[in-house]
Amino acid sequence: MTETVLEVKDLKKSFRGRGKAPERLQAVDGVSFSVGRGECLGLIGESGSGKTTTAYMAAGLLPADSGEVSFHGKHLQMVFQDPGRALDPRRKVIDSIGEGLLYHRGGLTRSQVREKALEAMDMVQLDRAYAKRYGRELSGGECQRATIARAVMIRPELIICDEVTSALDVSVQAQIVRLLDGLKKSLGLSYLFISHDIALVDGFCDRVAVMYRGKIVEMGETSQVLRHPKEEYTKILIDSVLTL
Amino acid sequence: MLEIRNLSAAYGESGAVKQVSFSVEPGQIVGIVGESGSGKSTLLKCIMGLPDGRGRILGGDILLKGRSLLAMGEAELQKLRGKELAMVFQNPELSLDPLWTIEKTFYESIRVHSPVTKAQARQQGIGLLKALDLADPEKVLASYPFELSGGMCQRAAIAIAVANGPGLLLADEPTSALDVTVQKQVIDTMMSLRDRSGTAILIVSHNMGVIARMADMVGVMKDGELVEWGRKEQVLYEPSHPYTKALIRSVPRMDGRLPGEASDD
Repeated sequence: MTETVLEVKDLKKSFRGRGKAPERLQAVDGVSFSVGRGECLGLIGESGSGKTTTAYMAAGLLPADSGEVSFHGKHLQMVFQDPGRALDPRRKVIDSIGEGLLYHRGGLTRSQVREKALEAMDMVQLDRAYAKRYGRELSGGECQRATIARAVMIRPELIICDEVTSALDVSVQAQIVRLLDGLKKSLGLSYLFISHDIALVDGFCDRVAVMYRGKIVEMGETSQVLRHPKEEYTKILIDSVLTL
Repeated sequence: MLEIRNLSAAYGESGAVKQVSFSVEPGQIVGIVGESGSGKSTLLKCIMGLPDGRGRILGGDILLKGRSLLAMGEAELQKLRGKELAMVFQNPELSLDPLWTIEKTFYESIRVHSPVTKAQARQQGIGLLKALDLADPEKVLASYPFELSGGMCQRAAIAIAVANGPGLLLADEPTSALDVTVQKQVIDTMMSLRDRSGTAILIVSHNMGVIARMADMVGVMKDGELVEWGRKEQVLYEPSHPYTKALIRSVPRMDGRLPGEASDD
């Protein structure tokens, strides 16, 4: 077993329901998993299954009701679904990308940060000419490259990707997932990759966890879970996937 | 059933649909695929006679059963819409009136075209929902759109759209807002509609899997042009246009590989 980067134990989270006498809604109900160094763990499931809530708790953006999150690294980053909203439209792209490092810079000058931001742009194959443009001038795919550049800037051990390809056209989606795969190999990155696109997860993730109503119902090697599912729900889910 | 001849449309200066021609035969399912901005939704809006904002038709013709839709006045079009030509949208909650129950929407949609009592409309509604395999039709009819799940709501919207037995159903990304398991149910609903009533369907989607499952004929749009057109088997599995080839390579296949891998490895 390789070194563990992220370990999540028995996470729970409930939200207040709607109405006058609301029942608590158990969004995440005892979720445990771990992500190894250089590994990509896919988290799949339908709307409302608790994928995003799990991601937010793992990233420390949302306090859990109970359970434990241990991160064995220095930096963790998150990339979101809607790149247009995750990138400041009124800032120059290079400033958005460099911002993280400005806070974590440890003695770097502004020009050194800019140089590193340009290197990050090269890494995500975003033309350096875009550096001086504003966030709003970028297309969806370019925005997503910029947010990935921003994430890799501080050399995180783990990136949590929440539906990062869902808002993109299929050809752009293929480019982004290939980019993420390349960075995984070149930087030894780990990913927690949340997606409802099962066919995409199949090509990208080493292991996969299937969520249903706040619980992980099945978890294992991607090929094992998706080719030889054991749970009824996983079978239904896979059976519904339409591809060519 | 439907013939599009050299249709061009634009928003302001920029062309959104350029010289597009194809036809839909009775009982046929035609799928149009393309990425954002390819003009596929604009195409449907032109057929429905609902160009929005600055959109206008520059040239060409749209013939429904041999009659030009572009030559018709608004009054004539209104008689046609719902009766011979109907449409379902991406987001059913937004296309149905939130203050009306499904039953009332059924009644109103039928009443516009033919005299009907509420009881008759109800019977017709129950029959249609049953025919489309929706569980518990009475309960669906009594519900408001927001009380139904996304998939149920979309299937109810399809039933309402075909309440007057149109020969052609236009569908704009009908499954894109839905989860995969529900997406499949909606597709099955549309296909059984075609099999039972011989309704022709023109479906627009960015989801290649949906088109692969449903369509008989497939058109590929890029930058407003129809770059490839033919039988599904030919377009999706032996494409000839470079854009179609690239698009199809990008589709994840459930084969344990990254999409697009076959192209450059």
